Amino acid sequence: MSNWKKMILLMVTCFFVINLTACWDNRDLTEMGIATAVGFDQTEGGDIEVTVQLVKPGVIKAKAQGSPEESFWGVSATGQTVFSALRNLVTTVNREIFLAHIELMVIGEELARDGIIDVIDFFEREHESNRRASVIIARGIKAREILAAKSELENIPAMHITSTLENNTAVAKMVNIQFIDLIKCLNAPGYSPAIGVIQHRKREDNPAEKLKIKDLEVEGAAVFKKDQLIGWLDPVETRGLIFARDQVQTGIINTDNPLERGKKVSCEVVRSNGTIDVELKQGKPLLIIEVKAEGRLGEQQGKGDLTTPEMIKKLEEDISKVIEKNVLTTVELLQHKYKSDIFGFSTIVHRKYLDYWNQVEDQWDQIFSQADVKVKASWKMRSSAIIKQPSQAK
Amino acid sequence: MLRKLSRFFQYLKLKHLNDTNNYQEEERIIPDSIEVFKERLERVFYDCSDFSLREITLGDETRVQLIVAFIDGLVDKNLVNNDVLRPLMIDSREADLATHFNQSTALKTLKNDLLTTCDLQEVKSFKQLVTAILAGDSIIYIDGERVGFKAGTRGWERRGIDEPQTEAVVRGPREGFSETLRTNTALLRRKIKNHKLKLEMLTLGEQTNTDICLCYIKDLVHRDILETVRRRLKRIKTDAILESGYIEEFIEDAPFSVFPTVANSEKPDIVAAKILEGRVAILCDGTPFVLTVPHFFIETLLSSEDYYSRPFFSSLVRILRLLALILTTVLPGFYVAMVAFHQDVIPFKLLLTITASREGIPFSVFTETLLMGVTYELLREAGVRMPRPFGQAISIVGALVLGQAAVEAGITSTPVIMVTAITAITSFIIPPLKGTLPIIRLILILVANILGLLGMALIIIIIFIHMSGLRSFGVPYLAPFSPFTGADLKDTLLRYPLWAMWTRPRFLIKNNRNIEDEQYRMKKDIRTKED
Amino acid sequence: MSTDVQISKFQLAALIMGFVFGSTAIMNPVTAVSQDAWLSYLLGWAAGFVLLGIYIAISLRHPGKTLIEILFVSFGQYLGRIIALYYIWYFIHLAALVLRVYGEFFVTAVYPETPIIFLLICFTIVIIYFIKSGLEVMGRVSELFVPVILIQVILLSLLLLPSYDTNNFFPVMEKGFKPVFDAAVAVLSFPFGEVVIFLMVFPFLNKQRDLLKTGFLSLLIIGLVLLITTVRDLLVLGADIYSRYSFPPEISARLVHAVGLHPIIDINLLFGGLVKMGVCLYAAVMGITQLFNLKNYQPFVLPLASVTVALSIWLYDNFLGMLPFVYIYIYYALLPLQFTIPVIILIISLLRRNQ
Repeated sequence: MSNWKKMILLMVTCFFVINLTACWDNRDLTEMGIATAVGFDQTEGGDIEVTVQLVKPGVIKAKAQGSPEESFWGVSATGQTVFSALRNLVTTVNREIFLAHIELMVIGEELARDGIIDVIDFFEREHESNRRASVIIARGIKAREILAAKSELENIPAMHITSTLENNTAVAKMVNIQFIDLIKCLNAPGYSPAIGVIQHRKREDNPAEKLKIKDLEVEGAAVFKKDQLIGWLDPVETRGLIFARDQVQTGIINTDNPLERGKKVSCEVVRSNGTIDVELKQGKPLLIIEVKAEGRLGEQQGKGDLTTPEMIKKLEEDISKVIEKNVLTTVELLQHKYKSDIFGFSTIVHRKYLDYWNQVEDQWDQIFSQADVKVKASWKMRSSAIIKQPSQAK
Repeated sequence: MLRKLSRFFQYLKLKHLNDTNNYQEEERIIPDSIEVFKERLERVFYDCSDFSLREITLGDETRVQLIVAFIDGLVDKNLVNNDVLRPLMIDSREADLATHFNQSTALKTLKNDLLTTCDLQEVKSFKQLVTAILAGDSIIYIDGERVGFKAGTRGWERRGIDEPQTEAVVRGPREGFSETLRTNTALLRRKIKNHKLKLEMLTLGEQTNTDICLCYIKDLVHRDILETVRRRLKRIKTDAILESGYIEEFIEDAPFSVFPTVANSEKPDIVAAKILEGRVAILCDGTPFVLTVPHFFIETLLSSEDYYSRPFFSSLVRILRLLALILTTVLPGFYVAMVAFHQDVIPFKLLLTITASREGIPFSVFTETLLMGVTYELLREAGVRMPRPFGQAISIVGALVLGQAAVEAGITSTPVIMVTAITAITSFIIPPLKGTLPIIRLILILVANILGLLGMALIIIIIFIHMSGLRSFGVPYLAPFSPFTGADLKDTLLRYPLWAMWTRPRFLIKNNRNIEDEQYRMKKDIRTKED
Repeated sequence: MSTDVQISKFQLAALIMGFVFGSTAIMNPVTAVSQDAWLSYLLGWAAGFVLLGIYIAISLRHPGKTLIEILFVSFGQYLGRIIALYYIWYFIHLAALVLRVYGEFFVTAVYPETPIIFLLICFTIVIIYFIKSGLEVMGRVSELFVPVILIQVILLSLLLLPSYDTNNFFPVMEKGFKPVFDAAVAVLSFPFGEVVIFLMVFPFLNKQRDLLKTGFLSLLIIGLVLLITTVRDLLVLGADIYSRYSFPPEISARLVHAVGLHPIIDINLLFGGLVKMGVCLYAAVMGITQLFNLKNYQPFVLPLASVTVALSIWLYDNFLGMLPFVYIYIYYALLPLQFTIPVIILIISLLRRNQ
């Protein structure tokens, strides 16, 4: 009897002690600042400036009823490390910064040139961070400014940028890399990352007006060597890269109309399969890129019936050549200008020719830049959409 | 320790009873003189205004004195008039009593020639006579004899067989048990027309002398289970049995468990089905609720209608019930855990919505959920207890409290109201656990506030350990899931067609030494190929 | 030995599966060899069958006897007692190890601000209740929970299907066979060799003739499930992350698209840990009871569980100190307890039979 009473008393005491003193990890939502994007810049003193885009949920709700207030807040703080900078934010923000829902990470150009490995560590270590967040490089602009830019469509600008990223990948104009893939890439031997780029649409700034998302464009890629930014790819070069990397979902490829000089034909990629491979020939690696794409005739300028078997064959060859040239240009640019293997040939050598890899691991970049390249592309025309012949003004 | 404690309480009750209850210690033998008998009867029924006693003198030459006694209101007056009083007082004149009738043959004449009641028994103890009067029978006493008659004249104002309020069905019999024991046994007997259906009677309750009926099918019931039921029933020493719930509390295996280990129903078809599976039913006079033991947890998810509708739909409904069970138990706790601990798991847009609705709420999510939960329980209780005419008012006020008004007043957030509403709706789906789930739900909300999902998981593990250890009359409570019995899964979450369920529940039949085991596990209703 | 406690073959299988799955699911020693993890695992698993065969043979040679009683029979009262004590220490130590792994896992992955001791005590309270309910109930609870674990593993593996990259398997044996073999030995000892603890449970199986089949089948199923988790994590995360992160399964659970499943996965992992710690502590209390020829094991549960909590705190200063320890520990625990002594017992029993 007394035993039973003691038990109850103990349980009640425990309950109150636990419940009234501390619930360690119990956080109230209203005490948390939900961050959707984070940006990193380098300050002049060499410190790291971290910008966080916080959402104001109350305002989003009120906005449905037409509140003019901005529904996000871009706020920055500096520190010697990312972690300390984030903690320094507490001096401005009254809430705990909640990083689990970060959709976008923007890295400033200067910082990227110095190496991104140091800003990545914190987010890799933190148990509560979104490893599927998209990473992007801010070219010629501060990450802070991008995160403060207002969107015309979305309440949360970060969502605007991430959805642009997804769409632009779809039209094969830029690289969309997720945080987890960036880590994998950085850790793979000899493999350097290529990251998407965000930049000003107009080169000349208009400092009087506040920056908006509509002034920014998301296209191209930033080329890294190990973790340091070394150069840029324009949208067309980027397309060559992602054709090889098998990341093309869709895209438009233009070629000349074989029947009328000076007119163009556009084809849409429906499916693309890119493979890269390496073969060792007499102790020298041969880099092989093979692209098998298929698609349909999307638009035709000029006259002529392009749906005859001969014309289709001709078109297929033309487009294959366009893709081949596109890829080859990109590879050669990377080989000779940047000397950075962002395709991942090194991982193939590592997998296939382990002994050889162990010999050349240290001078891989050199070997990569001197290696022979073989690019082979093939295009298969699936259809000409819903018409057979174009309209003609008669 | 719990068992000791419950015994201690039983002992306390017993002690108290023994002090007050002593009329049974009076002489048991029926006196052979009418004056003594009458005096004693009147002493027993002193101050009982509903007690009636008639003195009749019979015969022409040898006059024999009789006493007829009964309780007004418990007897059917027509029966007493026509079958007892009329034969004695009028028909006897027409009979030729002069020649044979005298003191010594009076008993025989009365029994064989005069009394026309169908139910007439000789009773040899005074105590039984008193019990018979209290049960609504009439007694007839003949001067000079040490025997009395008990004539079955029971007939009181009773409720008819209605449709039960608690277990409504769309398809299936509408009749429900009533408060009268005999009616209830008749309902069962009408379902199972089988001489093997045994109805054992016993009386419980030292003050109330309530009739209890033990109902089972001989050969189907497990002998050990039946013995356990008998033993536990006989051990009951209490003042009153007013409802079968009293019995339930005395015979259940784990008195300190929140889970019921005794099932109840007020529908004869359900009880009959359970008896046919080898269970024992305990009927109690004065209540339409019949207990059935042993009880499995899975029974709480079943309904009689599952067997009357087609198997596909029944299986779907059963899975929905399981979903409802899970929702009503864990949903509020889950919400608290998610919002207080696992914000990273909530999809981003949902998180924004929840956060926006929580802005400006003065309470933590735990307090808020608890508050709404308690409010709902209060409303529900009020809905059950209050007089019908107030129902309208309560529902209006309830809708305001648990609704838009609470949100607009800034007391709670909208998601909490949705959570409470879903919990409330789903809690009605599993009526047998209505006393269990609110407690578990409350505990889960509390631990969710301390350790989030982990805390909930730990409590759920504890609950499962507890349930796995529970037994109902020797049978594991969680059977057939654990211990796992493949053959019995046919009637759990999926209901197989009736012709495919050709074995009886293994745990109710297993080790039955009365009969050949395997043979009786087989039911004979296997569909033959020709059908 | 009192024989009124009996478990069915399903329950024994569930106990074995939960036990082996236990802490292995969150901390598999094969992560050390990154892309060769699956190879080491397969080797260890195959050898695990041999070990299990030895244990089952011992149990079948001594029907109705637990490990402690078998030790008495094989080595005599004095030496037997000393070895029995060694085994009991091993059981407690293993329980403490597993407890700490789970505590660290939850503190690192989900509850960073909660003191670990609080979590450990919470787990231990559940485990005390678990053991006090008796072996039958332990079997029944595992019977309910272990299928949930299996379903969870398969579900998660299917959800992660889009992220698989088979290139992560290569190159095979980059650093030669030695590390692969070392990891295989580690996985043989942890978790497969730990099954030696089931010598305390085997005699309670109600139909002894099912022992061989049940044992091997459950090892086959759970081995397959662990292989699936190993390969899944390797394919999803890649060799680098797989070997660099403390709890790879947790990270891969976080990578499921669109839905956040990882707390539910974490909780599922807890079920395995519960069975593992339960069996370890049960074996320990049962061993002590039999060592001193007592009848009831209940009074030992609480003190022993408290010792386990204290031990698990005291074992290492922090989680970083834990991993090297595990590897050293294997060579002290594996050889004598999981292999040498069982083989000696088996040889003794074979010799005696021939005489």
